[in-house]
Amino acid sequence: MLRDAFLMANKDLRIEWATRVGTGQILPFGALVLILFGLAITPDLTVAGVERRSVLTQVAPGLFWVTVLLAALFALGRSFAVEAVDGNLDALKMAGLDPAGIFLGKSAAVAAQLLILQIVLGFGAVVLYGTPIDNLGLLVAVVILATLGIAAAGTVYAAVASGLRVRDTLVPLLVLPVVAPVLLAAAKATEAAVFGSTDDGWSWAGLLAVFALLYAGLGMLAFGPIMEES
Amino acid sequence: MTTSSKATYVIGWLAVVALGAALLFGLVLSPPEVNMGDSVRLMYVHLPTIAVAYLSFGLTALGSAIYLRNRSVFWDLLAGVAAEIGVLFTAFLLISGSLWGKPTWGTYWEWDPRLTSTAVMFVMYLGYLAIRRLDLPQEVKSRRAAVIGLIAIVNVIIVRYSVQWWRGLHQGQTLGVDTQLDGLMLFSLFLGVVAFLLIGAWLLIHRFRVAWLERQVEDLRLARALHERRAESAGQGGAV
Amino acid sequence: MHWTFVIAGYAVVLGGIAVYSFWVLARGRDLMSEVPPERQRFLD
Repeated sequence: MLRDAFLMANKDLRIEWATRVGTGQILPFGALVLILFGLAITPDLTVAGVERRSVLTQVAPGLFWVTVLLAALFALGRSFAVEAVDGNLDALKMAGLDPAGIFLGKSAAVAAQLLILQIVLGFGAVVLYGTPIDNLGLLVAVVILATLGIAAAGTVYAAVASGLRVRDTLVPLLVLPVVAPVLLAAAKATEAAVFGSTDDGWSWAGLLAVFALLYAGLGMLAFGPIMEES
Repeated sequence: MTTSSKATYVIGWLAVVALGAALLFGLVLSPPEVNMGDSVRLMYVHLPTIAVAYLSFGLTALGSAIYLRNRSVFWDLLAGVAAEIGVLFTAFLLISGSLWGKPTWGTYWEWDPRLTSTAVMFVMYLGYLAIRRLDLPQEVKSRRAAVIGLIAIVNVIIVRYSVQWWRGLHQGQTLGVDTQLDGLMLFSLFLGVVAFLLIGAWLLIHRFRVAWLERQVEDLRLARALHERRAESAGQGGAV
Repeated sequence: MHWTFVIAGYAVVLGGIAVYSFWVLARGRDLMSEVPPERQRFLD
């Protein structure tokens, strides 16, 4: 199963490397969303409180994660668009690949793309929103755990819509409610990591870990039935 | 000819009676609450909608599980129909909750665990219903919907707990008012729940039969198309 | 004042149930005339 996973991840990442959709289109989209938030929210409006922080800086963690989620929708749709072209998923099954392995591989590929995306977007957020970084270790943990959860859960639901014309509108509708807890936990944990607030950042990170594990498991079980074409 | 039967007549009339009683007690006979006044009467519809919504979604999960086991059309349709009723009553839940909130707490919306996770749950099942309408072969469509219908319950629980945790840590305003419910009010509530459960059952049966008939129409259409296709190729077979 | 909200709430919920019921029953009636009797037994 792991071998199949590795094969899938390798294939998906190779395609991404060759076509550069992630870096060429999804990343700029993410940057654009960050900029749009900056336009929509008055940057110099300050929050009443001890640190004279601007509203934009204060909400930056939430904005960052919303941006990541939106970009993730594209990455997930793409993950299955590359299969739909020649009925690939069915062919893979007939070639004897383990569905659970296919699931793990595809999620891993999406997660890898998202992580690279977040490094750049994170840098952008720090620059554009003026966020400090108080606890880098927590921040890294949160980013990794949340990404794994989004990739796993997203892959399950994107598979349902794979190959269909309505995929682009269906994937967001299916994925976003499911990853709402990830958004919540990641934003709170990032807030703690970035501002050093008294919020229990590591507890939220724990919730992210649970979510990621849960969806990795659910995905391995559900992917087989979802993938069947007959 | 209609989708009615002896069962639906019995349940239907019981529902009407129960609803009448519930309205009588809820709107007239029961007293206003000490703190929130007459707006407490909205509780007599709000809580019953919660019961119907959650039971419906539970039924969807059950039907999905059984369908995955034995590919039964009955359970597939039941899962789908229950979800539709669940979504309808979740909408009622949100609206009645909102209308209850305004006079009681001053706002139409509160980011408290229950309302927030209910809103997410609402959209989640809209997604499930969308899956059931996809342009796919019936078995494929039903199987995908069944998997999602089953996982959806897990999602609801996760969302609920994470939002609860969020508000707990935030020590924000919890959506509790000191309610004092006396016996008469509890009884009115009980009547409301009974009435809505009966209404829900009645709707479920009728809606299921509609779905069943729709599936028959679909099957007939498909069989006819297949038959015509075969007749065509048989006619041309000799010409080559 | 509170009564406005109470009536509104009851109206939306009960009205919604009524609308949905009418739709389901009407749909049922239409379909029953479309489907031949042997397929009307609502069981697997």
